[in-house]
Amino acid sequence: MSLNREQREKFRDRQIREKYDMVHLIPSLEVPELSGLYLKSFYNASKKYQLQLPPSITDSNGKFCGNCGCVRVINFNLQTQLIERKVPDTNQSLRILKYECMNCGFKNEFKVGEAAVTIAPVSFSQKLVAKEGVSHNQKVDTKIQKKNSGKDRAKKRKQNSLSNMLSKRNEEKKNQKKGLSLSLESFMQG
Amino acid sequence: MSNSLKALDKRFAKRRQVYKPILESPFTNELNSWPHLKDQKFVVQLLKNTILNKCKHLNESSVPISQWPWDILINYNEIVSYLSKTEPSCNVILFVCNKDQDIPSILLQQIPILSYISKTKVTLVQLPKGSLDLLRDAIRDKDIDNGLLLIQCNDKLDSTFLTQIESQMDTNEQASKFPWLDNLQYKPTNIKLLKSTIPLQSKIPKKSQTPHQK
Repeated sequence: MSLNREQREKFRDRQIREKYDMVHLIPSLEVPELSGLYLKSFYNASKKYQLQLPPSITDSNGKFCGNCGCVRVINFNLQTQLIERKVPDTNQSLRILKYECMNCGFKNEFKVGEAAVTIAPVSFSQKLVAKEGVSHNQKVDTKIQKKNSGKDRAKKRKQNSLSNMLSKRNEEKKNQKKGLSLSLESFMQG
Repeated sequence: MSNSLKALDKRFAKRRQVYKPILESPFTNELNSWPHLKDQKFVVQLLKNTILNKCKHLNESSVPISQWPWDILINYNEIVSYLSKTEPSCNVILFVCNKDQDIPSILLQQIPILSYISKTKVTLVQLPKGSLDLLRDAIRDKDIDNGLLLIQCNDKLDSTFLTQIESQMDTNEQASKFPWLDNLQYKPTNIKLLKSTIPLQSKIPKKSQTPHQK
């Protein structure tokens, strides 16, 4: 007996959910060695049904350990630490989130963002004056930068077109003529 | 991100395809990992009026955070270690900007789990999109970029603020349960000592067994 579409989807949902729940049950069973097996079974099922899982599940090394496959639970099988690391040859430093799996000892690093460059302390009155100016300038700056990037690209494209190259050549010729006439005039004057 | 029609189409198409029913499982309850609020705007306004506005003034008069009139933590590592204590400490409210795109999801992924299994009672409050700028404006410290603000509920904090926040929490019991985490809470091992004695006499070496006789 074949199932109709609705029944098939129901069956799929139930199966996937059971597998997903099993993956989450493993930590409380205290047999972390099995977690990889169940996670693989869950992933295989989702592949079989061609499901696109939410990114919170599929992000590599995020929800599950990339090495042993256990569900990450902070303080249970996971230790986290946020550190700052300086980028060589620059003033900037990166914020990095360190994950360490306590089941298998696998370590991960995630780039979380760029840490702001430390600014020397400014007095209150200076700050107030600076704030208005800076905020205004920043807005203008970003706008210009955005516009430039788009326009620049367009300009570059245009410069390579045939008609443009022709007009360039024509201008060069004109300039040469002008140069000649000028030299004649100067000759006459002399 | 470009706003071309094609790009927009791609974005929405991706959204439609994601398989959501998996998040609704009552066992993992991922859909409700961040507790819902009754009125988000009210909470933001409350936070702004009671805490952030004062923070702004304190910042401008350059008072260090440790001397502020409340016990506040904004550093990720400090918050994690505070909530990881094995003995219950002072109740806290944890404000999180989990809707802002500046903060990578990986950074906040463990926060709901941590506040659920923590021995300390945590009132987790998710702030609406754009709240990070509010926090950044009030607390001029680079640590605020993580979008976390932990306030301890001790005598220093206005008790009406606490009750108002708590009244805004969605009290749906089903929503705030994560059965898969229930067994993962830290439990101290119950070690008992037993007084026993051993004879002072050294053991007499066993006699070698006689081979089996046929």
